Amino acid sequence: MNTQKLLIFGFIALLSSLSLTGCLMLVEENTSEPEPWQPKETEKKAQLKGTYISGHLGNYWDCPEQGYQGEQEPQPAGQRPAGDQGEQGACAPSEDGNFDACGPLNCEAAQVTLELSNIGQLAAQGAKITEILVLDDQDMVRASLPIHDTMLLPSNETYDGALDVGATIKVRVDFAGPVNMNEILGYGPESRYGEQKAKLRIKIKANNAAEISIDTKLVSSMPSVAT
Amino acid sequence: MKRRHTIKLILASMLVMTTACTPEPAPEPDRATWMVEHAADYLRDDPTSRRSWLERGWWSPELSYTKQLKDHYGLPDEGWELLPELNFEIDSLSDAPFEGRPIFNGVTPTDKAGWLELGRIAFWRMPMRRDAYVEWLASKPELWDRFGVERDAKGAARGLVRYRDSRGQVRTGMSCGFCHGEQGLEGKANKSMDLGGARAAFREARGLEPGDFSSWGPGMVDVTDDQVIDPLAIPNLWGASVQDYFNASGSVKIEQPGVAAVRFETQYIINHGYEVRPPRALTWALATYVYSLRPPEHGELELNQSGERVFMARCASCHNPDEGYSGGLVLAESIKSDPQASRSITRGTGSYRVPSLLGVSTGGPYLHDASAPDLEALLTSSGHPYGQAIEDQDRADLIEYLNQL
Repeated sequence: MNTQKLLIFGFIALLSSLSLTGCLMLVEENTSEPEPWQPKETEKKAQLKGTYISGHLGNYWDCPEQGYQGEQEPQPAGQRPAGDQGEQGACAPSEDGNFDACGPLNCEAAQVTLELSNIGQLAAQGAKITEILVLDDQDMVRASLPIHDTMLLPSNETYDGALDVGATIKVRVDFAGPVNMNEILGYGPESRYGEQKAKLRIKIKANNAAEISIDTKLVSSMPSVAT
Repeated sequence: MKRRHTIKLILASMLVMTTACTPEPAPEPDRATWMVEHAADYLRDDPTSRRSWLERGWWSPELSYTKQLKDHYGLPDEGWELLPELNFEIDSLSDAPFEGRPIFNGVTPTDKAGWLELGRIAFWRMPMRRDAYVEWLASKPELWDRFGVERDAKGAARGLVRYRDSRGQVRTGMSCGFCHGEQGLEGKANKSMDLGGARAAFREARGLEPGDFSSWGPGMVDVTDDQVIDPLAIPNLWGASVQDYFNASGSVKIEQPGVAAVRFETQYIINHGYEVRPPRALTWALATYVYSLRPPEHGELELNQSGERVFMARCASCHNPDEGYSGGLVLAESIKSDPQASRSITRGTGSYRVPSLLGVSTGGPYLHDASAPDLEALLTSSGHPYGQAIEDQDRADLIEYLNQL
């Protein structure tokens, strides 16, 4: 019995000594002063926030070639949108005073007006509207509409994409609206004209900010008559 | 016995005194006065009141015209509340270089006279809408008589102004007075105005198909953007102070007078391309002014009493004298005139409002489809069948009475 006890205690002692030796071997001797604790520094970045204010899908009754009719080459930025007659307004006379050079009756580019804010810690650079998508009633994307230009309000100057920290601006985006929304949404011929409307998804990104998207409520075409 | 009689006398005296001393309830203010008293509710940044008036005034929020207002107007921190405000720079229509001045001087009126004066300016000078065909027409005075464009004292087109739009372009726009200011009389429908004919002529000048615009006829405008030809007669505005509905189909109910300012504000937002909103002091003033409009007075007249009796017996159930001879909605089928506009997917209610007869003496044509050229036709035509059973002498007396309203 005593021999058994001795053997057990000896085995335990041997295991303990081996363990202790291992721990001592594994632990490096640390003789330096411990560093004071500091919080990990967060990486500064710009962060965009957008709000849809208003808009319409344009009116291409008399100029369907200027609207969106399906897959086509995107129009270059800065191109004068449909119906824009230049600085003199819609009825600038020709050199001989003839006003018959006025533009067509129902021709107006689509536009949306947005509010943009930078809620990040870094000034945003190169912010721009990257896509305007048409959504159906299942929120599925049905088309991507060509974007013409983005103007800063109220100056109407072309927006340069800069947005300071904490700043809020309003911009207006001209784009090519659909000539026939019913075709894009896949509605049949029984659909009525009054349903020329859809929700839009507007995507915005900056060089140093993650992309955001804004889903609008139903946006209608521009009325041809007084409402 | 004597004691009982005394008690009765005292009780009777108390009853008389109570009745005599109970103050009569204050009469409801007229709508223009109400507007002056509630201006602050509309002008404040908090859109709660404006949203409430909108919601209480719509016939159905699912009509496409109403739905977009429901989705965008009077919502805190989104939608049209965030639109930039544009205080239009305006100038008269002339060949002189444009020298625009802000239509609103920034000073909010503080009394009724001030509101009405600002409203009068808005009525004649605030550009409600720009249309290329109107700008073309403005440049061709030789066509004005043909299409019902009147000349003011300076020979310019009455009711048209030049203004700088939201994109800095100088445009020509029509004010309320263009259609609702015949002969310079505020509220009088210009029944010669042929906007459909002008549109058709403009399109032909561009080499385009004229379309169905020429079918509108003088004094008629199609205001529903649904590609259905359903023009309505340009209405007189004198009934605004008493009637229950705006629009012939009754799609906007005047539940609270403030709804008029909401209606005008949203009209301007839509008609200027959803890019700007007008100064709210202007739309409030305009609504106040419209509520103040009255038809021309006849002076001292002895009403045709026989005609009045016929009116009360045959007409007053719909045309309530206490409400400016206006009424509620009637099913379109019941009045037998053109029901097309009542079925519009944008503003149709299946009904038409009973219009006010204030100013009916200024002349026809009558009914929303202008199908009755005069009162005699109105009371004998199928479009308004309620007068067909009236005997000849009674009808003559009735017409004389109506011509005194």
